[in-house]
Amino acid sequence: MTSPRLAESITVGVGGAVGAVVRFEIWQWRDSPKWLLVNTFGINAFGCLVLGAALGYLSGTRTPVLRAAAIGLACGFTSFSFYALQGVTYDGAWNSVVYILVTPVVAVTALAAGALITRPHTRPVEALR
Amino acid sequence: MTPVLLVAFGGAAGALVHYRLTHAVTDPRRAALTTVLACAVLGFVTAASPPQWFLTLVCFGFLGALAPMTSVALLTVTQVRRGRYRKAAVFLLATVVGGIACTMLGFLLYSSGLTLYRKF
Repeated sequence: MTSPRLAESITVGVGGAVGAVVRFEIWQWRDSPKWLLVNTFGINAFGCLVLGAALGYLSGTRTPVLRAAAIGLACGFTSFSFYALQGVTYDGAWNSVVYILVTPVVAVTALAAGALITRPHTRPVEALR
Repeated sequence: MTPVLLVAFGGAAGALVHYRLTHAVTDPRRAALTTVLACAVLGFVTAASPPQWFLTLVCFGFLGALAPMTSVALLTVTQVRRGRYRKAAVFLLATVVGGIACTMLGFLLYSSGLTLYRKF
């Protein structure tokens, strides 16, 4: 394993650990299914917005370790699998349907909006990488 | 303190596996497959109601980080910015529908498997 690859792996691992702990702590605040549903929606939307902003800011630069740190943090923080699980197991049928339909749209929009806000206009813009 | 450490360990492993499997979140096919499989396993494990430490380490930590929402959104936006609108729509739709379906499948697989096991 080469050195840059190792540095990337370490930053992704540390970012994933921090992100997962923050998500877990937010879920622990209250123990009700509705709270978890609203919380997961907020976590996913906020995580996408922040990752979009970070990658937009880093676009056009050669900083693989910073990109890996942002992606690792976002990987640990947001969760698609819990979105699916909570959408499937929540009791209120209509709330589930709205949650399942709205979350991906909001996530994609938030990420695109974050990238557009912080994208540097003086540097050549690459496609989010 | 211990649950936090378990979540941290699981989250680090999940994020690392996802990052490596999807080639630094650039391969939509691998990302969709990883996400859908993680959803199926999470549904199965949740239906099995495992002990708390296992739930914390594997579900909240590993499987939560193995299938992040940001990868789905990032790969969709990347495809759109490259002008591949159809590919982006297919990826997003396949991941969402496949993820929800596989979670239900994993959940039902455990319950129906248990029922069958008790019957015979």
